[in-house]
Amino acid sequence: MGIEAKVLDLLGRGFLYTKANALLNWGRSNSVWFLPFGTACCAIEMMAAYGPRYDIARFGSEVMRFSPRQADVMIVSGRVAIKMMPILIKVWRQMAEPKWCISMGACACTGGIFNTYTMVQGIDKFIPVDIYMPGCPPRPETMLDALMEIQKMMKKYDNRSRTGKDEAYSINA
Amino acid sequence: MKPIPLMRELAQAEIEQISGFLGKSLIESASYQGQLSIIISRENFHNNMKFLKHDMAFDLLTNLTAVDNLNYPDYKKAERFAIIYELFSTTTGRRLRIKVLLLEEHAELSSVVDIWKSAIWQEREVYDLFGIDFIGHPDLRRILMPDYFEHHPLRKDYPLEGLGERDNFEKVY
Repeated sequence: MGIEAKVLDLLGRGFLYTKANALLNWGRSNSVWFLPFGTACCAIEMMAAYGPRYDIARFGSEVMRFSPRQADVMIVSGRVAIKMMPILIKVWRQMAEPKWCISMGACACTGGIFNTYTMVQGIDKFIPVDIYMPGCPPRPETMLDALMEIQKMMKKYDNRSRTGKDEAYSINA
Repeated sequence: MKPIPLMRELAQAEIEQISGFLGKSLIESASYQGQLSIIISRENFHNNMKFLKHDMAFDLLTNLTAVDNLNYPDYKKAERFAIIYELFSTTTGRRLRIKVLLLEEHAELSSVVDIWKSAIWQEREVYDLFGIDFIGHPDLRRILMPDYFEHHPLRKDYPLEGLGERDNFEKVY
């Protein structure tokens, strides 16, 4: 039984009980605040996912925050050049724990077609990535799927530990 | 106001005036579709450019770029780099293309910033990517690559995938 169903079940009885960890994760995963790190065309698809046609708000992510201190998830959408990489690291460090990272599209994941001296060949060489989204660029549906995967991770988050992430999900463990 | 024609052929008298002033500095000239392209020598270069601006009314520097001739079939060491200037006259509608050949070990040329102000960023770009030293440039810094970058990436002896700059960042886990 999901926590939403439990709430409905207990509504008539005047009280409900749960673990603090589960309550925090429930709240967090249904109000995911993204930090858009849009550097290229993938950012356009990311904006489409927030638009009225795909409406990511149906799944529990309404706002984008342009301050890293207020965001839960960073989406790196687009290619990252060697001049941008120190900025990306700085922004990632400014985000408060707990934090997650989505690498959106072929360029952010592997460098894509840009196998040159200017392009970082995958941001996961330097910062931890939780979700890799394939595509060039990915469809907004992939973005919705990525959100749901992030929500699954958030529900498993252990608030007592420092990083709290499930071993099975951690790419760089 | 009468519109300026975008392209008008150089009159024979003007060609003679240019070649007369340049004299021994003129190494080679070619004409294609009424556009004159000339190769001039490094000696007396700055004076010749001043003449073209003030006496021949080429008041607009539309483009300034460079070519690395290494790996060309008939490559000679004395012609490693070619700096190319494309001039346009907003009063007469004439165009002129100028090429200056540079030695590999003396990749330097006097700056034309004092003649055409628009050269200031273009010379910075050529310096950044080809390592050509423009003598007399007021602010010769890199413009595209990061300041800590050590090489000049559009030189043909620089590998396409770089010398490890793109793998050289701090890992944040």
